[in-house]
Amino acid sequence: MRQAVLAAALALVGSVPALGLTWQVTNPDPSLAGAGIVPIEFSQQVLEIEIHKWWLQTATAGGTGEVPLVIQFTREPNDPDVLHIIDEIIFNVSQEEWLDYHVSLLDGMGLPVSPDDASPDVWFFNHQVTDNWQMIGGSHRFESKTVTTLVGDPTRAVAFDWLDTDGQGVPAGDWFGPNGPPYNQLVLSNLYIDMSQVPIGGVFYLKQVPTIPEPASATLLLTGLAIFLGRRRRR
Amino acid sequence: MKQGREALSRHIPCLILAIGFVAWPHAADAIVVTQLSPTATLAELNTYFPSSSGWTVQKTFHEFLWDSSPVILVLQIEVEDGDDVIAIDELVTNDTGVTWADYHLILANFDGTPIDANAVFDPAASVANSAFVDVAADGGQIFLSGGTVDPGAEFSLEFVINTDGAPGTGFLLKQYATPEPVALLLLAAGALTVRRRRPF
Repeated sequence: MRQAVLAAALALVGSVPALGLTWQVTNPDPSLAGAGIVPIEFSQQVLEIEIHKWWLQTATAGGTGEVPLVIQFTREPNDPDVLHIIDEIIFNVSQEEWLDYHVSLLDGMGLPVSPDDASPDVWFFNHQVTDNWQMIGGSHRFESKTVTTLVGDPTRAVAFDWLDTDGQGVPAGDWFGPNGPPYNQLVLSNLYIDMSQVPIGGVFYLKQVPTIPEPASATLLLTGLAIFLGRRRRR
Repeated sequence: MKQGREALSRHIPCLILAIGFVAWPHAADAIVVTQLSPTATLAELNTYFPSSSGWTVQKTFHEFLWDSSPVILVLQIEVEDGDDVIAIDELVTNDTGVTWADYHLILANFDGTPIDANAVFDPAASVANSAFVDVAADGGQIFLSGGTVDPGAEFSLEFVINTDGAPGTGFLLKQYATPEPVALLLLAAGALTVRRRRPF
C-alpha cells in the first residue's frame, strides 16, 4: 500500500520545474523504481542538489532484466558549468540484495558517453584535480570502485562501478522499521558533473542501476561455496 | 554457596538497571531518530532523548569538504506511537573550524519531495534560536541567517513538526550550515598552503 502511494506521488512529481536546471525521470516505470530531487542551492555560481532514489524491483518480470533508473537533466539559461550532487540517498525496497551498483552518463542522444570521446558533452569532474577519486562518489557499502576515465585524462570520468567483494552488498528491506534505512540504504556522495559543453536547452542523462548475480552466476557461486565448506568440514 | 552469593551481588546493579528500563514509561519510544547520512566523521547525531518540552536532539558538524561544500546531516524520524506534534529542542555544535553564516533545515519524504502532508514545520510555532536574527520558515524549510556560529561554539534551536500521527510512518529531517565567505577564503588559502608544502 505504502509503495503504491509513493508510486502515485512519483507520478505527480516526476517532472519538477525549478530555478535553473530542470529534471525528469525518464525510465523506468514508477512501479519499478523512482527518484526525487531536493534542490539545495541554485545560483549562477552554484548548482547543488540531493537525489533520493528507490527501487521497488531490481529485476524485471522474469528475473533477468535489470531496472536502470535514468534522470534527464535540461540545462537552463544562467546555469553554472558544474552540477554538484552533494549526496544520493538510495533505498533498496526490492526483494533482492544488491551486490553491485553502476553509475554512468549518457549524452543528449541518450547514448553512453564513451571514454574515447575527445570532446564529450558531459563528464564527471574530479574536484581535487588529481587522479585520486577516493572522495568522489564515496560509499561504505561496497569494497571496490572502478572509475572509467576519459582516455588521456584521469581527472575526468564517464562511469563508476561499485562492486561487492565480501558477499555483503545492500540488503533488501522496508521503508521503515529494523529492516528500513540505513539497513537497506546506499549513500553516494559528491558527484560533480561538468555540463559546460551542454548547450542551453540541451539535455544529458544520469543512469544508475543496481545489479544482482544472474541465476547462472548465483548457482555457480553457491556450488563453489558448498564445495569449499564441504572440504573444510572433511579436514 | 559463597561463590553463588558473590556472583549474585555482582549482578544486582545490572538487575536494577534492567528492571528500571522495563518499568520506565514508554514515552521514550514515541519517535526513533536514525542518522542516514553522512559518515559520522563529517557530521553526527550525538544523542536524542525526551525532555519536558518535547525532544532534545544533539548533533555535531565536524567538517566541510575540501571545497567547502555543505555537509548535509540526514536524519530519519520514525513516528512510533501516533504522536502528531513533535517539539524539538536542538543543540548544534560547530566543530568544523570554520565560522557559519547561516543554517538550513529541510523536511523531506523518502521520495525526496520537500514537503508532504505527513510532516510539516508548524507555521504557528516560533523558531527560537540563540545564534541567528533572521528566520524564514514555511512548511518544508527553515532558513536561519543574520548571525554567525563561531568554531567550537554551539547554538540552540527550537521548532515544532506536525505529522499526521500515523504510527509506523516516518520522514527525513535534513540540516546543513554554510560557511562564512571570509572563512571560505581562509579555507582555500589554507588548502593551497598545504598543497604547496606536500612533498612531490
